[in-house]
Amino acid sequence: MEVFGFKLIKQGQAEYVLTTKTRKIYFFATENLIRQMDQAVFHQAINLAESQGLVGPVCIMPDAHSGYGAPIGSVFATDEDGFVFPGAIGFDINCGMRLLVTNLMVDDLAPYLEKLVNKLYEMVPVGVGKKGLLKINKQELKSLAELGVSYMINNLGLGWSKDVESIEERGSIKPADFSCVSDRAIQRGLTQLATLGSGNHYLEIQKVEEIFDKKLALQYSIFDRGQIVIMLHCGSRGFGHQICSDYLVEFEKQARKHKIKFTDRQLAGLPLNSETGQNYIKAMFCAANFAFVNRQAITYQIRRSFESVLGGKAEDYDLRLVYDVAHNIGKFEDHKLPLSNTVKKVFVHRKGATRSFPNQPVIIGGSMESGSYLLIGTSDALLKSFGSTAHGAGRKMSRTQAKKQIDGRNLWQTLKQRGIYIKSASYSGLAEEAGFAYKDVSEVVSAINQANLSKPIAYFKPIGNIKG
Amino acid sequence: MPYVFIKDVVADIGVEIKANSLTNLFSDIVRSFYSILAQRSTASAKVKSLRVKIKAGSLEELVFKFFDELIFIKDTKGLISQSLAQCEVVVNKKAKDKYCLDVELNCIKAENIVSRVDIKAVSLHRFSVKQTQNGYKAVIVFDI
Repeated sequence: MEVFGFKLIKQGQAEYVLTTKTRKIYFFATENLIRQMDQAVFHQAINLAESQGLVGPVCIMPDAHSGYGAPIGSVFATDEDGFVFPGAIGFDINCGMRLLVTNLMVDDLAPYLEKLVNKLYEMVPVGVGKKGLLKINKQELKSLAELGVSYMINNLGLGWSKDVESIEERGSIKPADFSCVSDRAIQRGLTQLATLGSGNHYLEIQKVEEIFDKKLALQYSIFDRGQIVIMLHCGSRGFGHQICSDYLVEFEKQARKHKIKFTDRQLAGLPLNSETGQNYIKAMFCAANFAFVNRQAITYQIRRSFESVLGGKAEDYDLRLVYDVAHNIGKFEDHKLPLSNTVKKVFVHRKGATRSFPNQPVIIGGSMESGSYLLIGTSDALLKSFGSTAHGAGRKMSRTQAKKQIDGRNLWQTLKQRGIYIKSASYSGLAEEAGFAYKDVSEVVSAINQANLSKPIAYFKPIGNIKG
Repeated sequence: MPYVFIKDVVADIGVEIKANSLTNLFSDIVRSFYSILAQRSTASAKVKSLRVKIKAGSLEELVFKFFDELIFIKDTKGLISQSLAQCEVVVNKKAKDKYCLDVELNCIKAENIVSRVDIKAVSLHRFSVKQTQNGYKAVIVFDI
């Protein structure tokens, strides 16, 4: 098929390939989803493919849309002698998803729903310039950034010991070195623990709408339609944003100094083994750990909110962690390069893409109207996409366009009538996040299912939402 | 209008600012920043002054650092910059720091705005600040 003048050859179910001068770009999407991608996705994917130091193909996920530098929904790898690209990991380092399960059914929660949403809104600050309710000092921030979730649970008491078992990398990526983080990033991090942020970040109360794999669902304590689960989407807040900003500027300076060329300023890259490259990785891992502890701190606030509104102990409502997984991250992993028999240690860049290793839960969040999915990773993903899959519904309409089409108050009212109670910091922001601004999440999941990057376990629909 | 939103930015927000002087450029930068973050301020909002000084080797670097500072103030002090009370830009092409900015910001507490959407960072994607025949033109894409 031809899209914007680019020729894509069909390779399999929801798999197309675009061949550039230097390497292949795999699109794991249906024809319909590829045609919904904006033109810049193709240009940015080609820019990536022609960047220095890559190994294997560039992979584009079905929810891809243009970003800055690299498309949101892109995956690629560089070998140990290759490059690292901060812009292809993104500002919101370790933006990710977390899913908690309850033993409540929708009818059990119905009388408390609005009160619970309001309580969560109070306990987890959202929106512009909001500070978190859990205060930490600089030493604690250092320990959290370097040691991750286990420090938060063991030393600050914010969580259950078993939580770490259900987090990617057990909530701690090494080597994280706080001395590589600027004072500006530290100042931003100190005030923002247990905050959600804004834009497409959310905390959602959902009900199980459909179960596709009963055996696997039970393994994650999902037993019936109508069961209540809690989903969370947020990242490393200002701490991670500042780390990315600081290093982007430094990368550009160093790249120019060493006459390293790049096609987009946001795609400035440096050798992994360079001093600046190494420092970025150590700082980026600090941000990744901060994102894990931020979602852990929010989980603590969720459990407290349940106790406050419904009474008793959080354990009475189960509230166990199903999984926590990143979708903006760079990591060292061993991979058999796609279409090759060689296993290599590579540095995988995932920007708007979720790790999807065999038997690992994958969480894909849709818009506040359309619902979300729990899936399981596959061995095919390891062979095809550096063990990666999609991350969400993917935007198809700009914020300005969306706001022109609907008024936030009307949307709020319409959703309330449909049984979705929303507490938002901004009606304007709510309009920007309307369901029609996104692709159909079920079509995205169908594409990754067809491509065998991950398989659906259960589908959830929102009944309550907290939004920045 | 001193700034316009760029239409082909899908998930984030981009602005194009045209100004006839450096002073107006920085004034419009603050106004565009405020209009992304806030729909309006509440009636009770009190204005707080904040002085900021920034040095840079180029105009692009100065604008980048200035936005970074506005974001930093928002996140660490909980203050949203609304407008400029005073602005001085000193240009010395022979100095290492060719541009020196000295501004007094009019800020409002974050709890006193009706918020729109938060800005995470200024991206370098499409980022440019150029002198034109009529003054200055800046293109900025924000990560939202």
